[in-house]
Amino acid sequence: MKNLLIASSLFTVMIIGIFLSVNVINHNCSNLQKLNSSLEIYIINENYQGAYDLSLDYKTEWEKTSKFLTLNIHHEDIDHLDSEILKLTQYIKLKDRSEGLATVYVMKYLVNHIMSHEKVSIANIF
Amino acid sequence: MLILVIRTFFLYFAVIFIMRMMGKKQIGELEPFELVIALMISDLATFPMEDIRIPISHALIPIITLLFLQVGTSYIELKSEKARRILTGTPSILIKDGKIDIEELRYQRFNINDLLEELRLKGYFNLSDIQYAILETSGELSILPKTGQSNATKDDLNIEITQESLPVPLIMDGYINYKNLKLLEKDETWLYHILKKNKISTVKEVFVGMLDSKNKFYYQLKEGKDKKR
Repeated sequence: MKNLLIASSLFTVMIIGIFLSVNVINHNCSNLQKLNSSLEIYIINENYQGAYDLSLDYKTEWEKTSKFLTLNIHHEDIDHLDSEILKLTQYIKLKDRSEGLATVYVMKYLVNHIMSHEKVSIANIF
Repeated sequence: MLILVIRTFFLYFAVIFIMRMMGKKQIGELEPFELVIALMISDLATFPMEDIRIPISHALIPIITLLFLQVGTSYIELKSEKARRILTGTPSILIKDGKIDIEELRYQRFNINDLLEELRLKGYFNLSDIQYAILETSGELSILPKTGQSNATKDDLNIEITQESLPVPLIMDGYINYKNLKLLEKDETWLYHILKKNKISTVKEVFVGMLDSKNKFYYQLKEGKDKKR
């Protein structure tokens, strides 16, 4: 009976923890997606100074977010986004519009990929 | 590299905790669903141990879920006969009244060689010696030999016996186990008296000292030569 109680409590705490973590992940990823959209607009409008400043802000935001994400998601997903962010800063610096846009698009996809992993869906279950 | 050591430490203690929670049965003879859980846990714990890209939470979440499932299933099994039948199955009688149940043997995919092997392992070489053979849900074969073939007990021979008690260690590696001494309702003076009777000057000289099942003091000195009763 004691074991059942401990196991149930542990399980309940874990489920609550999962819900909270998923909420935090989704919140952080939504913020990143907003930044991605702004970056995209800056690059389309060829506002490279604004895009560069924003990409540095993005990097800082990502460093904060990734610390929490490493506890919950596969580190490979984080590494992919890490390298894309580093690439982006340099593409913007060199005013490379096409590579910059392509990188932002990949970043959008990767952030979306992190969020979709946490969704309870048939695709994810099977 | 250090991270691997830390992760291994963490997962090792987490799995020990989970296994302890599951009880002794998990370590000994397993029921089908318990075996599945044991196999799954071992796999789940190893992957994040060797691959640092996998977060530990990815192992802990399924392990805790399995713990919950195992404890929950055991509880349901305890309460419901039907659930027990579904999850664990029922024992199968392979030999009934000295006769092999061929249908049951086929159903259990247990061939005659398996049966004979199991019987031999239990010390029965003749099929004719067996009255009942039951295949338990854990895969073990329990045997009831024919009355004439079973070992004679002390009761059968009308031998008077006194019930033996559990041996209790009193000195371990030169240290007195006060808890066991208290359990026997004895004190240090009694122990020192026993030691003196055996010509031992200090407790430190004793490697192991215990009261055996016949209530006699058994000891071995640290030199490892002297052994007395």
